[in-house]
Amino acid sequence: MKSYFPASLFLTTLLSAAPAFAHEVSQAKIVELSLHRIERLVILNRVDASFLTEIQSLKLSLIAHSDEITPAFKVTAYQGVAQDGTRRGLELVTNADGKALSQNVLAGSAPAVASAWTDKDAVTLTENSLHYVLDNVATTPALAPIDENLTEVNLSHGTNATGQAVAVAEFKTGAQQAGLLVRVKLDGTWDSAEAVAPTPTE
Amino acid sequence: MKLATWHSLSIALLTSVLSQTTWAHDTGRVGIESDVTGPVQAGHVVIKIQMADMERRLPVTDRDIEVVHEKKLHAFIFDQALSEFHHVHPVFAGDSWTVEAELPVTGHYSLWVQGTLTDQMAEFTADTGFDVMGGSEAHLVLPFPGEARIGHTGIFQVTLSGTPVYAGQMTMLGLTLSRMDGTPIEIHPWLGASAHVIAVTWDGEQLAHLHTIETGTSGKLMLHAEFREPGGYRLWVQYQDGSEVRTVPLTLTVLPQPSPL
Repeated sequence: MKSYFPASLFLTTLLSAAPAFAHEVSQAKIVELSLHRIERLVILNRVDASFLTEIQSLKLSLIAHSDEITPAFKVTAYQGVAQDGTRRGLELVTNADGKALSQNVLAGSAPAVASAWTDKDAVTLTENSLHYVLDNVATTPALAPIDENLTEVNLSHGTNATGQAVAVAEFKTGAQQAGLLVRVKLDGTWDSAEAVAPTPTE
Repeated sequence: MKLATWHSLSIALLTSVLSQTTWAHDTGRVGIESDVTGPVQAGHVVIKIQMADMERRLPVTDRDIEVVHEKKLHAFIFDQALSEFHHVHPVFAGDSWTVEAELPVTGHYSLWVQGTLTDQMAEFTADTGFDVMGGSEAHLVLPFPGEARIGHTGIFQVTLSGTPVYAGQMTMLGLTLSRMDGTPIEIHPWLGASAHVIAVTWDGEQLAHLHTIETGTSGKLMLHAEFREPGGYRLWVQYQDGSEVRTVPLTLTVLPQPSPL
């Protein structure tokens, strides 16, 4: 029966504001949105599931653009290097808002050494590490350069101060700028973080 | 987008019972992918979309969605100038949903999809964009022209009444639906409501789908809403008069919240 006075209301929004041409979305946020997109593409079987489990690094580059709807960022997610020297990659292009525009799989063989994350997958571990930056930048100004200028994330196995196995995400902003190491436990919960000194200039 | 405002805007809605609404955004539970890889030809546009439930890590099929307001999915398509508008209902077939609309005008379009998952009755929205080429000249994207609380399409007129709207304050607005030729209006329920109001911020980046409530007087409806962000809004009011669904555009200014004395 049709209801003329709906008891429940159907109300939603998508929250993202419109920038002009300046990037009002930080580069760390772009990387986070790209990680969400990788997950989405895997769920929908549009790319191989190995992009969820074997991602080892992400590199962000800027694309010259003149408005808010054309390509502005390219994030390339790489798996580990294969025995034949190739490396599978997934290029994701977004506009200045971080909205997905296109994707392209870079052909390569399976990594020579599997990531072997035991609990959470590589995308989740990377994203959870990234949230240390995104969730704390408002109260920790020292994180602002990472948030604004992030260009590379590398995920690897490591140990924390007590020798426990953790995932280590290395955040880079440029050759001569300070970086950041974020450690998350294998279940994806936060462990620790430390700044990495800038590379000295010669 | 300004990250500080990422979560800051919502529009709330009251009926006889206050409804708390969870707002979704594009990093929310459901994500969308379309088959569009470049500009589409103007005319009868057919777009296939797929949705992913990011929480369960599964594709969203028609079995995963509740019927709400008589449809499983509601989709809104509008151009960047907020001049073109379509409210359509995607159909599931195989592994994707098909969205169809007549889009004769060139431009950049947003496609918003809105639904409710059977799992936890979770409401969601997801959006994507696409370009239409080869149609009539794109509408100019203009700055907000100011408030226009009277809108009409042909002889069909909607008048929005009520006090000025302030951000962050619950507001009751009156809607009067009428015909400019003086003939009586014949409102019939459409999709489970007397009227649907789709509110979009002038930048086109935020959207709310609201429903009116009847007052008992023919053609007079009420809308309770809270606009948390000041600025200009496009409102499309949709209702069925006689046998036809009418869509009437309006503009609304939401003023900054007054400072406390």
